[in-house]
Parts: sequence; C-alpha cells; structure tokens
Amino acid sequence: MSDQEKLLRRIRASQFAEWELHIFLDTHPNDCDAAKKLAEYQEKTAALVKEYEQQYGPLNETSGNTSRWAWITGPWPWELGEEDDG
Amino acid sequence: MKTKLEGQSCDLRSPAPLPAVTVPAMAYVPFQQYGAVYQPEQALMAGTLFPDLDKPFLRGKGAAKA
Repeated sequence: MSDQEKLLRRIRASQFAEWELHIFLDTHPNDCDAAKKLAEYQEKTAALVKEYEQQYGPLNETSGNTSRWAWITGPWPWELGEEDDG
Repeated sequence: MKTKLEGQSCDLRSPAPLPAVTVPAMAYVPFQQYGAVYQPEQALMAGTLFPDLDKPFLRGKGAAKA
C-alpha cells in the first residue's frame, strides 16, 4: 500500500469510528463519554483529511483546502486500486 | 481540551442493561453500555467499534464470548 492509500485507510477508519459513535448516540443520547469520544474523532478526521488534501488533492467536493479545479488532476474512481487489497 | 459539551444534558447516566423490574416469561435484551472501544483500524476490520457487538461467525469452533 502506498502512503496515500495508508493515509486514506486511516481516514476511512477514523470516519467509521465517527459513524459508529454517531449511531450509538442515537440510542444513547445522553452518554457523555461517547459524545466526547465522537468530538475527539471528528477533530482527528478533520486533521487527517486536511493532511491528505494538502498532499493528494481534494477528498470530497466540499473540500476547502484545495483549488476549485484540483479535481481534474486526481485519479478517476475506477483508476484507484483500493478495492483489490485484502 | 475544552470540550464543547458544556451546558448540554449529557450528564445523565445511560439506562442500566436490564429494566428495574423484570417480568417472568418475558424476554429482555441487555441494553448496550458504553465501555471499551476498538482502535479505528481494528474497528474497520471487525465491522464495529464496540467489542460487545463484535460477534464473528465462528462455525461452532469459537468459545462462548461474554
């Protein structure tokens, strides 16, 4: 896995943790620990995304860290080799 | 870090696993409690952030996990 793929995996993992805590809070709305953990992961993900976007271009269309036209320089979704690793 | 959670009603405790009064012949599912969580990468592989919910299909070989 290239550095880019490693960083992307860390971002996806952090986003997954965020989502898990989010749906946990749906059934446990007043759980302070989970809410704090979610806030922590939200900051962590934002930092990782910022780092990724500075090196590899925009990650999603709402990216504020790159130029408007950076899209065209990045690979198309079908050119990414992500799906065939284990 | 100064969490932005002050003033919100998040100081209430989560419900206990089982209701205070349990009635015979009724089924109860223990309510999930917030405990240890996996690291993000491990959670991504396990498919859940919570060890309590991590129940892989072991085809009868695995020992009963709490």
